[in-house]
Amino acid sequence: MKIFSAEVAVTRDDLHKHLKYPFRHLRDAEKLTVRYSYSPKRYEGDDSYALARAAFSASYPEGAEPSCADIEAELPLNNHLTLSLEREGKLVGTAHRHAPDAEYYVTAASASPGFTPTAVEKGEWAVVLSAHAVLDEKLTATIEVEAE
Amino acid sequence: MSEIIYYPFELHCHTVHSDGAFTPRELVKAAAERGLKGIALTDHNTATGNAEALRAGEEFGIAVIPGTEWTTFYGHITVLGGRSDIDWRSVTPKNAADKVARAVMLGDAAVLAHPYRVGYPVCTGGRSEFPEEIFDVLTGYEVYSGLLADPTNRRSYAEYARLTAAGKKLAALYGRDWHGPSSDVGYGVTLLGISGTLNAANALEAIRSGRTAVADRNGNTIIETPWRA
Repeated sequence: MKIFSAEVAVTRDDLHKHLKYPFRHLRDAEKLTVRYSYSPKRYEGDDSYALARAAFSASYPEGAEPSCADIEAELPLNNHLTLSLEREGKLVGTAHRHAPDAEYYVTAASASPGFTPTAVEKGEWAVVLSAHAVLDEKLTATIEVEAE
Repeated sequence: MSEIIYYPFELHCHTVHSDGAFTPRELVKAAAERGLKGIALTDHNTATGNAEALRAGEEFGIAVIPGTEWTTFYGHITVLGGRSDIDWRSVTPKNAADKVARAVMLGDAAVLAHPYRVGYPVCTGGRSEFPEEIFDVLTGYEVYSGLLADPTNRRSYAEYARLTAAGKKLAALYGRDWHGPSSDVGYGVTLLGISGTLNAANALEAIRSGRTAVADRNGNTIIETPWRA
Protein backbone atom coordinates (compact mmCIF):
# COMPACT_ATOMS: atom_id res chain seq x y z
CA MET A 1 0.00 0.00 0.00
CA LYS A 2 1.34 3.39 -0.96
CA ILE A 3 1.76 5.50 2.18
CA PHE A 4 3.65 8.50 0.82
CA SER A 5 4.46 10.09 -2.50
CA ALA A 6 5.81 13.43 -3.54
CA GLU A 7 7.18 15.27 -6.53
CA VAL A 8 9.61 17.94 -5.37
CA ALA A 9 11.80 20.58 -6.93
CA VAL A 10 15.45 20.72 -5.91
CA THR A 11 17.07 24.00 -6.93
CA ARG A 12 20.56 25.43 -6.86
CA ASP A 13 19.61 27.09 -3.57
CA ASP A 14 19.32 23.59 -2.12
CA LEU A 15 22.90 22.67 -2.98
CA HIS A 16 24.68 21.03 -0.03
CA LYS A 17 21.51 20.76 2.01
CA HIS A 18 19.76 17.71 3.43
CA LEU A 19 16.12 17.96 2.34
CA LYS A 20 13.77 16.09 4.62
CA TYR A 21 10.37 14.72 3.54
CA PRO A 22 8.64 13.33 6.64
CA PHE A 23 5.71 10.97 6.60
CA ARG A 24 3.68 9.24 9.30
CA HIS A 25 3.36 5.50 9.05
CA LEU A 26 0.11 4.49 10.75
CA ARG A 27 0.29 0.69 11.06
CA ASP A 28 3.05 -1.78 11.78
CA ALA A 29 4.11 -3.57 8.60
CA GLU A 30 6.57 -6.18 7.40
CA LYS A 31 8.36 -4.25 4.69
CA LEU A 32 8.95 -0.66 3.64
CA THR A 33 9.89 0.03 0.02
CA VAL A 34 11.22 3.42 -1.10
CA ARG A 35 11.53 4.44 -4.74
CA TYR A 36 13.06 7.67 -5.92
CA SER A 37 14.21 9.27 -9.10
CA TYR A 38 15.45 12.64 -10.24
CA SER A 39 16.16 14.39 -13.48
CA PRO A 40 18.06 15.65 -15.25
CA LYS A 41 21.10 13.58 -14.26
CA ARG A 42 23.50 15.03 -16.78
CA TYR A 43 24.31 18.71 -16.82
CA GLU A 44 24.44 19.96 -20.40
CA GLY A 45 25.35 23.60 -19.71
CA ASP A 46 27.78 25.41 -21.98
CA ASP A 47 29.94 26.22 -18.96
CA SER A 48 30.62 22.55 -18.14
CA TYR A 49 34.20 22.60 -19.38
CA ALA A 50 34.96 25.86 -17.57
CA LEU A 51 33.46 24.56 -14.33
CA ALA A 52 35.49 21.36 -14.51
CA ARG A 53 38.64 23.25 -15.41
CA ALA A 54 38.22 25.54 -12.41
CA ALA A 55 37.86 22.51 -10.13
CA PHE A 56 41.05 21.00 -11.54
CA SER A 57 42.93 24.28 -11.13
CA ALA A 58 41.90 24.52 -7.46
CA SER A 59 43.48 21.13 -6.73
CA TYR A 60 46.49 20.99 -9.02
CA PRO A 61 49.90 22.08 -7.72
CA GLU A 62 51.46 25.30 -8.91
CA GLY A 63 52.89 24.95 -12.38
CA ALA A 64 50.83 21.88 -13.29
CA GLU A 65 48.13 22.23 -15.91
CA PRO A 66 45.39 19.68 -16.49
CA SER A 67 45.22 18.52 -20.09
CA CYS A 68 42.06 18.95 -22.15
CA ALA A 69 41.76 15.16 -22.13
CA ASP A 70 41.91 15.09 -18.31
CA ILE A 71 39.10 17.62 -18.11
CA GLU A 72 36.99 16.07 -20.85
CA ALA A 73 37.25 12.71 -19.12
CA GLU A 74 35.13 14.20 -16.31
CA LEU A 75 32.39 15.40 -18.67
CA PRO A 76 29.48 15.43 -18.69
CA LEU A 77 29.12 16.79 -15.18
CA ASN A 78 26.28 15.29 -13.19
CA ASN A 79 23.66 16.32 -10.71
CA HIS A 80 23.78 14.05 -7.66
CA LEU A 81 21.19 13.41 -4.96
CA THR A 82 21.57 10.58 -2.45
CA LEU A 83 18.76 9.10 -0.38
CA SER A 84 18.67 8.43 3.34
CA LEU A 85 15.88 7.01 5.46
CA GLU A 86 15.09 8.06 9.03
CA ARG A 87 12.84 6.55 11.68
CA GLU A 88 11.93 8.69 14.69
CA GLY A 89 14.75 11.04 13.75
CA LYS A 90 17.41 8.33 13.70
CA LEU A 91 19.29 7.36 10.55
CA VAL A 92 18.25 3.96 9.18
CA GLY A 93 20.72 4.18 6.34
CA THR A 94 22.05 5.98 3.31
CA ALA A 95 22.35 4.78 -0.27
CA HIS A 96 25.29 6.64 -1.76
CA ARG A 97 24.78 5.71 -5.41
CA HIS A 98 25.08 7.60 -8.67
CA ALA A 99 22.09 6.23 -10.60
CA PRO A 100 19.24 8.77 -10.81
CA ASP A 101 16.59 6.20 -9.91
CA ALA A 102 16.54 3.35 -7.45
CA GLU A 103 14.43 1.22 -5.14
CA TYR A 104 15.39 0.22 -1.60
CA TYR A 105 13.67 -1.82 1.10
CA VAL A 106 13.84 -2.31 4.82
CA THR A 107 12.46 -5.12 6.99
CA ALA A 108 13.24 -6.24 10.52
CA ALA A 109 15.43 -9.05 9.21
CA SER A 110 17.12 -7.59 6.15
CA ALA A 111 17.51 -4.44 4.08
CA SER A 112 19.04 -3.11 0.88
CA PRO A 113 22.80 -2.49 1.08
CA GLY A 114 23.41 0.78 2.90
CA PHE A 115 20.43 0.36 5.24
CA THR A 116 20.19 -1.31 8.64
CA PRO A 117 17.46 -3.93 9.06
CA THR A 118 14.72 -2.15 10.99
CA ALA A 119 11.24 -3.13 12.12
CA VAL A 120 8.65 -1.25 10.08
CA GLU A 121 6.73 0.07 13.03
CA LYS A 122 4.17 2.82 12.98
CA GLY A 123 5.49 6.26 13.72
CA GLU A 124 7.40 9.13 12.19
CA TRP A 125 9.60 8.30 9.24
CA ALA A 126 11.35 10.52 6.68
CA VAL A 127 13.05 10.30 3.35
CA VAL A 128 16.02 12.67 3.12
CA LEU A 129 17.57 13.77 -0.16
CA SER A 130 21.13 15.05 0.19
CA ALA A 131 22.01 17.52 -2.55
CA HIS A 132 25.63 16.68 -3.35
CA ALA A 133 25.53 18.34 -6.77
CA VAL A 134 22.88 20.61 -8.29
CA LEU A 135 24.15 22.17 -11.50
CA ASP A 136 20.87 22.80 -13.28
CA GLU A 137 18.54 25.56 -12.11
CA LYS A 138 16.04 22.95 -10.98
CA LEU A 139 15.87 19.19 -10.62
CA THR A 140 12.61 17.31 -10.32
CA ALA A 141 12.61 14.42 -7.88
CA THR A 142 9.93 11.87 -7.16
CA ILE A 143 9.61 9.84 -3.97
CA GLU A 144 7.27 6.93 -3.38
CA VAL A 145 6.98 4.84 -0.23
CA GLU A 146 5.03 1.59 0.11
CA ALA A 147 4.36 -0.49 3.20
CA GLU A 148 3.19 -4.10 3.14
CA MET B 1 58.06 -5.88 23.06
CA SER B 2 57.19 -7.95 19.97
CA GLU B 3 59.04 -7.55 16.74
CA ILE B 4 57.50 -4.99 14.37
CA ILE B 5 56.62 -6.39 10.95
CA TYR B 6 55.39 -4.15 8.13
CA TYR B 7 52.38 -5.53 6.22
CA PRO B 8 50.68 -4.12 3.10
CA PHE B 9 47.15 -2.82 3.64
CA GLU B 10 44.54 -1.03 1.55
CA LEU B 11 42.74 1.40 3.84
CA HIS B 12 40.16 2.97 1.50
CA CYS B 13 37.68 0.59 -0.15
CA HIS B 14 34.07 0.63 -1.37
CA THR B 15 31.51 -2.06 -2.11
CA VAL B 16 27.91 -2.37 -3.29
CA HIS B 17 26.89 -0.98 0.10
CA SER B 18 27.71 2.41 -1.44
CA ASP B 19 28.93 2.96 -5.01
CA GLY B 20 31.45 0.15 -5.40
CA ALA B 21 31.22 -2.87 -7.67
CA PHE B 22 32.52 -5.55 -5.28
CA THR B 23 30.43 -7.26 -2.65
CA PRO B 24 32.30 -7.13 0.66
CA ARG B 25 33.36 -10.77 0.22
CA GLU B 26 34.57 -10.10 -3.33
CA LEU B 27 36.58 -7.14 -2.09
CA VAL B 28 38.31 -9.14 0.63
CA LYS B 29 38.98 -12.00 -1.79
CA ALA B 30 40.48 -9.59 -4.33
CA ALA B 31 42.68 -8.05 -1.64
CA ALA B 32 43.94 -11.45 -0.49
CA GLU B 33 44.66 -12.48 -4.10
CA ARG B 34 46.79 -9.35 -4.51
CA GLY B 35 48.89 -10.21 -1.49
CA LEU B 36 47.43 -7.58 0.80
CA LYS B 37 47.40 -8.57 4.46
CA GLY B 38 44.55 -6.32 5.42
CA ILE B 39 41.93 -3.81 4.30
CA ALA B 40 39.67 -1.20 5.81
CA LEU B 41 36.12 -1.12 4.47
CA THR B 42 35.13 2.51 4.09
CA ASP B 43 31.84 2.63 2.23
CA HIS B 44 30.37 6.08 1.72
CA ASN B 45 28.14 7.01 4.64
CA THR B 46 27.26 3.48 5.72
CA ALA B 47 28.73 0.67 7.77
CA THR B 48 26.31 -2.05 6.68
CA GLY B 49 28.91 -4.00 4.70
CA ASN B 50 31.25 -4.49 7.65
CA ALA B 51 29.75 -7.72 9.00
CA GLU B 52 30.15 -9.54 5.68
CA ALA B 53 33.66 -8.15 5.23
CA LEU B 54 34.70 -9.32 8.71
CA ARG B 55 33.44 -12.84 7.95
CA ALA B 56 35.33 -12.78 4.66
CA GLY B 57 38.47 -11.66 6.44
CA GLU B 58 38.34 -14.84 8.50
CA GLU B 59 37.63 -16.92 5.37
CA PHE B 60 40.54 -15.50 3.36
CA GLY B 61 42.97 -14.96 6.23
CA ILE B 62 43.48 -11.21 6.11
CA ALA B 63 42.75 -8.48 8.65
CA VAL B 64 39.60 -6.43 8.09
CA ILE B 65 39.17 -3.06 9.79
CA PRO B 66 35.48 -2.11 9.87
CA GLY B 67 34.84 1.49 8.96
CA THR B 68 33.00 4.07 6.92
CA GLU B 69 33.80 7.20 4.94
CA TRP B 70 32.04 10.36 5.98
CA THR B 71 31.34 11.64 2.49
CA THR B 72 30.30 15.16 3.34
CA PHE B 73 29.82 18.12 1.03
CA TYR B 74 32.95 19.69 2.51
CA GLY B 75 35.47 16.86 2.61
CA HIS B 76 35.77 13.13 3.11
CA ILE B 77 37.06 11.42 6.27
CA THR B 78 37.59 7.67 6.61
CA VAL B 79 36.70 6.51 10.10
CA LEU B 80 38.37 3.20 10.92
CA GLY B 81 37.47 0.82 13.72
CA GLY B 82 33.69 0.59 13.78
CA ARG B 83 33.40 2.01 17.29
CA SER B 84 31.67 5.33 16.64
CA ASP B 85 28.25 5.83 15.08
CA ILE B 86 28.17 9.47 14.06
CA ASP B 87 25.57 10.52 11.49
CA TRP B 88 27.60 11.72 8.49
CA ARG B 89 25.01 14.39 7.75
CA SER B 90 25.84 16.15 11.00
CA VAL B 91 29.48 16.81 10.03
CA THR B 92 30.16 20.37 8.87
CA PRO B 93 33.31 22.48 8.61
CA LYS B 94 32.33 24.23 11.83
CA ASN B 95 31.99 21.07 13.94
CA ALA B 96 34.23 18.62 12.05
CA ALA B 97 37.03 18.78 14.63
CA ASP B 98 34.58 18.00 17.44
CA LYS B 99 33.05 15.11 15.47
CA VAL B 100 36.48 13.66 14.70
CA ALA B 101 37.56 14.07 18.31
CA ARG B 102 34.48 12.17 19.43
CA ALA B 103 35.09 9.33 16.96
CA VAL B 104 38.72 9.08 18.11
CA MET B 105 37.69 9.20 21.77
CA LEU B 106 35.36 6.24 21.13
CA GLY B 107 38.28 4.23 19.75
CA ASP B 108 38.30 4.89 16.01
CA ALA B 109 41.09 6.29 13.85
CA ALA B 110 40.08 9.18 11.57
CA VAL B 111 41.88 9.92 8.33
CA LEU B 112 41.55 12.86 5.96
CA ALA B 113 40.91 11.26 2.57
CA HIS B 114 42.30 12.61 -0.72
CA PRO B 115 42.78 16.13 0.64
CA TYR B 116 43.32 17.75 -2.78
CA ARG B 117 41.24 15.61 -5.10
CA VAL B 118 39.51 17.61 -7.80
CA GLY B 119 36.42 18.88 -6.00
CA TYR B 120 32.96 20.23 -6.82
CA PRO B 121 31.38 19.81 -9.30
CA VAL B 122 33.64 16.96 -10.45
CA CYS B 123 33.67 15.24 -7.04
CA THR B 124 31.65 16.85 -4.27
CA GLY B 125 33.76 17.15 -1.14
CA GLY B 126 36.70 15.59 -2.94
CA ARG B 127 38.87 18.56 -2.02
CA SER B 128 38.85 19.16 1.71
CA GLU B 129 37.43 22.43 3.01
CA PHE B 130 37.81 21.46 6.65
CA PRO B 131 39.52 24.06 8.82
CA GLU B 132 43.05 23.83 10.19
CA GLU B 133 42.00 22.72 13.69
CA ILE B 134 40.95 19.35 12.32
CA PHE B 135 44.63 18.42 12.06
CA ASP B 136 44.92 18.56 15.85
CA VAL B 137 42.52 15.62 16.21
CA LEU B 138 42.84 13.50 13.04
CA THR B 139 44.84 10.28 13.27
CA GLY B 140 46.08 10.08 9.69
CA TYR B 141 46.37 11.80 6.34
CA GLU B 142 46.15 10.29 2.85
CA VAL B 143 49.42 11.65 1.50
CA TYR B 144 48.77 9.67 -1.65
CA SER B 145 45.38 8.81 -3.14
CA GLY B 146 44.49 6.77 -6.19
CA LEU B 147 47.17 6.73 -8.86
CA LEU B 148 50.49 7.59 -7.26
CA ALA B 149 51.40 9.88 -10.16
CA ASP B 150 48.20 11.95 -9.90
CA PRO B 151 49.32 15.61 -9.76
CA THR B 152 47.01 16.38 -6.83
CA ASN B 153 49.13 14.07 -4.67
CA ARG B 154 51.95 16.61 -4.93
CA ARG B 155 49.71 19.12 -3.14
CA SER B 156 48.88 16.56 -0.46
CA TYR B 157 52.55 15.64 -0.03
CA ALA B 158 53.57 19.27 0.43
CA GLU B 159 50.75 19.91 2.87
CA TYR B 160 51.62 16.78 4.86
CA ALA B 161 55.22 17.97 5.12
CA ARG B 162 54.02 21.34 6.40
CA LEU B 163 51.68 19.79 8.96
CA THR B 164 54.13 17.29 10.38
CA ALA B 165 56.88 19.93 10.50
CA ALA B 166 54.46 21.94 12.63
CA GLY B 167 54.16 19.00 15.03
CA LYS B 168 50.85 17.49 13.90
CA LYS B 169 50.80 13.77 14.74
CA LEU B 170 49.32 12.49 11.50
CA ALA B 171 50.18 9.05 10.15
CA ALA B 172 51.22 8.99 6.49
CA LEU B 173 48.73 6.78 4.65
CA TYR B 174 47.72 5.73 1.16
CA GLY B 175 44.15 5.31 -0.07
CA ARG B 176 43.42 3.69 -3.40
CA ASP B 177 39.76 4.56 -3.06
CA TRP B 178 39.12 1.12 -4.50
CA HIS B 179 35.71 0.85 -6.14
CA GLY B 180 35.97 -2.39 -8.12
CA PRO B 181 37.94 -4.58 -10.48
CA SER B 182 40.59 -2.69 -12.44
CA SER B 183 44.26 -2.81 -13.31
CA ASP B 184 46.61 -2.44 -10.34
CA VAL B 185 49.22 -0.55 -12.33
CA GLY B 186 50.19 2.77 -10.78
CA TYR B 187 48.53 2.27 -7.41
CA GLY B 188 50.20 1.95 -4.01
CA VAL B 189 49.71 0.42 -0.59
CA THR B 190 50.02 1.47 3.03
CA LEU B 191 52.59 -0.45 5.05
CA LEU B 192 51.56 -0.85 8.68
CA GLY B 193 54.19 -1.76 11.27
CA ILE B 194 52.37 -4.28 13.40
CA SER B 195 53.49 -5.53 16.77
CA GLY B 196 52.08 -8.95 17.63
CA THR B 197 49.24 -10.68 15.85
CA LEU B 198 48.12 -9.43 12.46
CA ASN B 199 44.62 -8.17 13.26
CA ALA B 200 42.49 -5.04 13.06
CA ALA B 201 43.25 -3.85 16.58
CA ASN B 202 47.00 -4.02 16.05
CA ALA B 203 46.66 -2.42 12.63
CA LEU B 204 44.84 0.52 14.19
CA GLU B 205 47.51 0.74 16.87
CA ALA B 206 50.16 0.93 14.15
CA ILE B 207 48.33 3.91 12.62
CA ARG B 208 47.96 5.65 15.98
CA SER B 209 51.65 5.06 16.72
CA GLY B 210 52.89 6.41 13.40
CA ARG B 211 54.32 3.08 12.28
CA THR B 212 53.17 3.59 8.71
CA ALA B 213 54.59 4.19 5.26
CA VAL B 214 53.29 4.63 1.74
CA ALA B 215 54.84 2.30 -0.81
CA ASP B 216 54.40 1.30 -4.43
CA ARG B 217 53.09 -2.12 -5.35
CA ASN B 218 56.60 -3.54 -5.23
CA GLY B 219 57.02 -2.45 -1.63
CA ASN B 220 59.36 0.46 -2.32
CA THR B 221 58.75 3.11 0.32
CA ILE B 222 57.77 6.55 -0.98
CA ILE B 223 57.20 8.28 2.34
CA GLU B 224 57.05 7.17 5.93
CA THR B 225 55.58 8.84 8.96
CA PRO B 226 58.32 11.07 10.38
CA TRP B 227 57.39 10.47 14.04
CA ARG B 228 56.66 7.54 16.36
CA ALA B 229 54.44 7.54 19.41
